[in-house]
Amino acid sequence: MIAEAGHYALVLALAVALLQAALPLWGARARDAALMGLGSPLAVAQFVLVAISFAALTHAYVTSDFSVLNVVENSHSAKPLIYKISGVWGNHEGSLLLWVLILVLFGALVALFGRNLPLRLKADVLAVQAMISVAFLLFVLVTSNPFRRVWPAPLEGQDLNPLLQDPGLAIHPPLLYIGYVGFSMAFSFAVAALLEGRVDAAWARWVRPWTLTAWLFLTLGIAMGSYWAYYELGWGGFWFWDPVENASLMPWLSGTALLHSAVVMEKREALKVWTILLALLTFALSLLGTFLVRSGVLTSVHAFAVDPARGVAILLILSVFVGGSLTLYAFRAPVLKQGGLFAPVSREGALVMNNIFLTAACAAVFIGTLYPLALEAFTGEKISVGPPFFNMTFGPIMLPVLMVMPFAPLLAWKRGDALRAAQGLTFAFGVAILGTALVAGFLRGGPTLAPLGVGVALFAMVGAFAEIQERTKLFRAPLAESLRRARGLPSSAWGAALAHAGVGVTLLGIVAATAWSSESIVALKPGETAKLAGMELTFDGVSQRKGPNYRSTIAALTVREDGKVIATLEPGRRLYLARNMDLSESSIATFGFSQLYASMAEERDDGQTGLRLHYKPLVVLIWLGSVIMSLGGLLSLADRRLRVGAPRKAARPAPALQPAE
Amino acid sequence: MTALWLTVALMTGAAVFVVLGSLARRREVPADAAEADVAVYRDQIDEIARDRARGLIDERDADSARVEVARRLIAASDRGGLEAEAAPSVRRRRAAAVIALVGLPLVSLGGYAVLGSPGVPDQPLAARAKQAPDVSRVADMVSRVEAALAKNPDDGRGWEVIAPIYLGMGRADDAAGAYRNVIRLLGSTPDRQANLGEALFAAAEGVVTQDARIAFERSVEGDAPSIKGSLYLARAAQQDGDLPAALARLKTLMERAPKDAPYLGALKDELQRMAEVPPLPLPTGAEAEALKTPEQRMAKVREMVDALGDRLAGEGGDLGEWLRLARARAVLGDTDKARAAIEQARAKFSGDGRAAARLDALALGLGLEGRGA
Repeated sequence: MIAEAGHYALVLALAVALLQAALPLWGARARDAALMGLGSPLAVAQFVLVAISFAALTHAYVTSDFSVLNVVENSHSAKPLIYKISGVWGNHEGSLLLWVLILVLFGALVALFGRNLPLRLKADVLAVQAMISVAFLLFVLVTSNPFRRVWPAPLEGQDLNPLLQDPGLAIHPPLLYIGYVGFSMAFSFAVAALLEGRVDAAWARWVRPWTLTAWLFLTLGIAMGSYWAYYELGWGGFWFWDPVENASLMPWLSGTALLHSAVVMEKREALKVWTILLALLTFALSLLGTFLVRSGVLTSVHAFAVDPARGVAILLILSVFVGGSLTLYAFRAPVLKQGGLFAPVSREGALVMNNIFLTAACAAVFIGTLYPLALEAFTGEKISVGPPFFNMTFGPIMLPVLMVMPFAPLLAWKRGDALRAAQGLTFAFGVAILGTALVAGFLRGGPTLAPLGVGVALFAMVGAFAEIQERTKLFRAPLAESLRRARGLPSSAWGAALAHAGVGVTLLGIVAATAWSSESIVALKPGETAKLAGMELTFDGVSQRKGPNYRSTIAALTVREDGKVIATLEPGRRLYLARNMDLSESSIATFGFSQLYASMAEERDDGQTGLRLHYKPLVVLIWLGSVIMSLGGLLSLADRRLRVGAPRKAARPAPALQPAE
Repeated sequence: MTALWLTVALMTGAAVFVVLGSLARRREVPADAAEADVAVYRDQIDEIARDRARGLIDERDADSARVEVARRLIAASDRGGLEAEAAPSVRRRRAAAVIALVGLPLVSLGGYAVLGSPGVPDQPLAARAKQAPDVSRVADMVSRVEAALAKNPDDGRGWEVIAPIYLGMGRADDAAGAYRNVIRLLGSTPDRQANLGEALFAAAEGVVTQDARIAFERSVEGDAPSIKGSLYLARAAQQDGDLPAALARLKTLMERAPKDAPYLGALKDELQRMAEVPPLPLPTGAEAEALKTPEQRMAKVREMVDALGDRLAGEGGDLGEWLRLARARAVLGDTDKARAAIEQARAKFSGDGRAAARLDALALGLGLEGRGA
């Protein structure tokens, strides 16, 4: 009864979404407050219904109700509880339900906390949100229904794909989906603005926090996914330019651009039209990301054709929302009033540059990801666009962004002074030069350009705090004065500095782990020792263990440095019994920010065991940097100040430079 | 079923009520749409004043910011008059109410009628395990026992029940694991060791692995050695290429077996099977080609046995060779020739009491006695 009640709740949610898409919109056009007022209660009702439905599906998973097809296909009674729960979204149908749940949660949040939104804007926004959820609910119910039943029920399920039986899966998709779906808010606000033909002052105030929320979750989600691939796939790589990864990177790039152009819009009411276009495109890329991963297009264009119902529905949803919103944009954008003017060298100018390069980088990823698919669909020819393409395009495009990043916060709104900004960065520049020189002088091996990469990363890390230093007058005023000023700084200033420093930290991790990693593939007998990066790894032998739904073979390694034991590693292979799938389980020891990584290849007949060993210097910084970026986003989000762009005078009075009494 | 329909009715009713309740609520005259904008700008001007008071911006910055916001505020106020909201119309509200009252249940119930399976009850695994057992389904029983064992993995009896079922189902690995648990929990007996060995033998697809051999060897230790264990050890010897040792083991078993032992038939089959396999070295090349069929192989074996008989009759030989000849004849089904071989050997070793005793034992073991003994 619970499963069927969940199913009915989902159908009822569709009916409610239909009303929510139609009535407030009608009300907004007819200027009828009663109809517009329907949006909020309907949005809340829709959330409650989808939540009931999601809870019912989770219940079926937890109790191993094998009369539900989705549970049979993705669960097993012997699976640990956490994977029974995370298994709910570890498959196509369930993950789409999670997507819808997050979508309606955002709708409900607008309904509950958007009291100060103009009534019509709110009605339009909720109606557009409801249209998205109508499309997705229909898609879920008709083509990917998680509540399909089987009679008679099988006795045991087929288990979740062992790759997904990992704590990473419990967290990664929800984070990623909050990111994707969060951008739907920006989309709905943009469409509402286009429908109204004007952008309210409240518009920018609302769009930025939503975008920021989406962005910080997406950042965490991508980082989490990267770390998961790193330790689960057993190859020691952290980014593969795999289409699935690119699908999440594209909305992140355009979302980052949106975040910055929304700042300009909020403070200066400039770049309105561009911001709206970015909002539309970012959500379009989020949709594309969801579908690329979910539709099976990525595994093969043929897999897509095998299931035409899903494929056609996906194309339909994409074309309606992307095509529809862009058409609306083409007609209505000229109506929007353009905002303030600014000089090329100014905060706005720097942000525009950031936008141009970020969207160009996004385009490069887009082409690299979709061109092979399009080519295969039209000509049947299979080509593979690998890391070389992305390294040649993405890297050079992102470089200017990283170089300009520390400058932007130092430039004044409207008109800035590049020279002054450069002066503010002298220290950061010095650190970067010194770092490059030290690395080039003391480290052997690695690509020639790697020390420069370290320099850029250091410049970004230190330069990020130049604005803070300037505004607190650190080193130029007494410490107490600086501390007082630091407390007075809006948290968004700290947020921006942290986020920008996080980019530098991630870059440093990427450069170091790519340029100076060492790798060794060895076959050892028990008692034998391999050497890697100055450490000695002694292979102690193989043992067997039994998990709840797998058996594992574990190779024990003792790591010594100068004869002292510094770590033990236990890479292994797991055989998952239900699917008879064999999986490598890597083992990682962390020293500071660097990691020693071991995975087990195979046991050979001659008593040797194949092992893959990596030493990755500073690799942890890659993910640490992403966490710092997200923290920056969080700080910025916590800043509830209203933002007003006050142009600063380029020439400042001198007193700040006088020595302290 | 009733509970489901009740839930459906409640949810639908609540959804309809949300719409009707919201439509019926009294609203204040809607605010000027531009008022929201004006409010935002007022807040911004207050913010500038606060920043100025805290010393975050200087007077000149504050002034120019105020001017900018004021410009936007005036623009927003200018728009105000044009944006007045229409009065809510009763007709529209009624239309909306009807759509909610009729359309909502129509879509949800209609949709559910097409997609749902209201007749299928929930079947959580725990509840299913409590239902009356369906004896015809072994798998069902197995999952019941497995569930019990998952809860209480130290239940040795449970493992002992499920182990042979696993083996019967072809889950030899699981059977071996179960027998290991039995031995761990209930202690080792020759039979349990033999069963463990048998499961390991099956898991290795008919090869006596080292683990299996250890289990079998344990099974034949002590006062009551396991027959099954001995049988498998014989097979192990044969797989090692040591056919004489294998045959010797089987012979010993036969000799020790009581006359009406139920496994005698199995022993004889095993003997026959082993005799059929040509002894090492294995024939190669053209010879192997000539021995493709069992009949051919049988003929070849007979030829070799005949040769041995001829040699012994002509040149004589030791007791072992005579015993082997008799055994081979018996195994090949030539009972008369086997008896003849025994008789000949008896004649040859007539003075040797021990030889006579072994010949008698062999005759007994091969079921040849009845004449001359």
